[in-house]
Amino acid sequence: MEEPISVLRCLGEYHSAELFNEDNVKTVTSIEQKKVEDSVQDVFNAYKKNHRLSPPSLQREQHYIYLKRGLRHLSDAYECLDASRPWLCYWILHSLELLDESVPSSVASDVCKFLARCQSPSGGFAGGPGQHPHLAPTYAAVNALCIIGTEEAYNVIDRSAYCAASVASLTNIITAPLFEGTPSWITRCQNWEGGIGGVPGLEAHGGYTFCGMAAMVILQKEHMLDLKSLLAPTHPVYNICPDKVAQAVQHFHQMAVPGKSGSSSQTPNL
Amino acid sequence: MSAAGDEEHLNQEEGNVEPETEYGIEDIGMRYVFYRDRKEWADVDPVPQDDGPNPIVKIAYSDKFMDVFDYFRAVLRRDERSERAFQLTADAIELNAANYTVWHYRRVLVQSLQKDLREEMKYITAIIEDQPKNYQVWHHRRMIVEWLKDPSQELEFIADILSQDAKNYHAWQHRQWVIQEYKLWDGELEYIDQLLDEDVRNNSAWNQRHFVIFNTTGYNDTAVLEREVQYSLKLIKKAPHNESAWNYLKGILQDHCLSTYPNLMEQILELQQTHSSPYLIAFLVDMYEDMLENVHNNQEETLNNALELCDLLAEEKDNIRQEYWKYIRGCLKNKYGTSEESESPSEEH
Repeated sequence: MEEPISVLRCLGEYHSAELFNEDNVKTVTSIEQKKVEDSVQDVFNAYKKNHRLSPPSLQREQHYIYLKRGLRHLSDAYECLDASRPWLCYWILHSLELLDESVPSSVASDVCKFLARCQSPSGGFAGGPGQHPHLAPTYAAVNALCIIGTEEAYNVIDRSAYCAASVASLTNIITAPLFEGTPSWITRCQNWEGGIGGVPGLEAHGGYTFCGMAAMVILQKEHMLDLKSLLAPTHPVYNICPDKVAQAVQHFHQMAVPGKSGSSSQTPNL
Repeated sequence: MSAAGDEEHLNQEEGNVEPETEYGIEDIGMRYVFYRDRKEWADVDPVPQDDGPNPIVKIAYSDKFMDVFDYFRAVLRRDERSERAFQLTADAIELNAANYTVWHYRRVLVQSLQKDLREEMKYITAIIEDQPKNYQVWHHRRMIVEWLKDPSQELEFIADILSQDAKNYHAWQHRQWVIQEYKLWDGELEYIDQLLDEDVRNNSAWNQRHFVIFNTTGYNDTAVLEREVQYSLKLIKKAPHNESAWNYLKGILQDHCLSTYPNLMEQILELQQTHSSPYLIAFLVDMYEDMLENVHNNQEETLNNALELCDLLAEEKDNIRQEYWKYIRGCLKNKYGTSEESESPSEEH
């Protein structure tokens, strides 16, 4: 049953109550916060003025064109990501997948061949052909190949190389000794705020919190974290119940590739 | 930021040259020379990047970028350990400071050529000042500090970076590493006081406060805990809608019986009259929850107080997190409500 379309939050009566309260104490943080709120408010005001404007919608066609082009060519502005090309593949392919856009089989094959050139003979994937292997592009490359999901894609991966939890999970080679110290390391990264930082002691950080939580779920050790404080309302991102977080992570990592022509409709058991 | 050796190449005008504005050298009539046009590199065959016949995510590199990296790949392939290779790494880094392969090779050369580590510190200091949000530069600095066994410049350097961006995660990570590794705890609390005085909302500084105290006196010392509770309350009074201060207060008390801490409930209820905020109310919910768990009289009244506040937060004071507050409300009711009242777990959203 479809829910009635609700009024946009930004047009609601009490929306302005959510504005940041500076308490008459100006600091760098509050100045930056206000800048963001002001620029967002400009967008809201445009809608308030013209109610005939339909609510903002995802510009699928434009995004598709942008992504399709980027998968082939990027401007020199991307020189700074020259050591992250598997990431570029992954970000683009993942976005296309979220938009339900299929990748033509010739392009998919080209991705496989390119990532194969990023693979290191000693194992793992590098940021680009000729560079040293590194865990981060390895994660990106394996995920990109799994999104493509063809036999050619899976054949690119050399199973003997991996140590990252998500990679091992996707290729079904998690064994107890491989990740023995990992869960307790991650729990040590959970701090007094409830979130997870990059290393023990560091400030809780959204990105690390996602990765830490995801790794724990994959290793089925999420109960070792203080889940209650992890979900404490320090950020509206955590405005959901704990089970949903675990479910979202599992979904992200284990969901079958959507069935499209030219690609497998299931994550194969390797 | 070019390596000193580059100046030699700037006067030659042979072959294919390109006016180079980024160095401001047009003013003095000097031009950048591609490596392929440099006599002293004539013995090296550049190695083009092997993207294959149908590349993906192909970047439109500038001529200069391609030239430098063609030569870097060549040097890497022959594992050349030379001064010219060392200078080449600086050019490559300038074009893409995130290329970890280049940084690794630079370190190999630093050791192989026994380069002056103090000079390397000057170099990395300049690079970080220019690109403080890059992972590789901070890692490189850490390696130099370790090789030198000398952290003496670190705290001042990091403070300078933080004066430009008080929340730079890399800077804080490096700072925590230096302090912990070389036991430089002295004076850090005073530094944090100064940062919080400049910006009481700097969550990184609050985090550092916890880091220092946790690793020195600890929070089990009652005098320390009381000092920190009063410190937090004082800053809360100054800016009641500062989430960091409230998070810190909760953070330091959560393992020390929130609800039975002497006088705290009274102080919070008093604050509610003049300095209320959604964070204060959320804190009260935490206190009531702690009471329900640990203090076993007046359960019904405490529970009702907690539920009321959850409703207030969900409906009005913290509406954007309503799903969270409804969830908490449900948990509390299930756990501490009398059996007739308990409801099924909150419906799926």
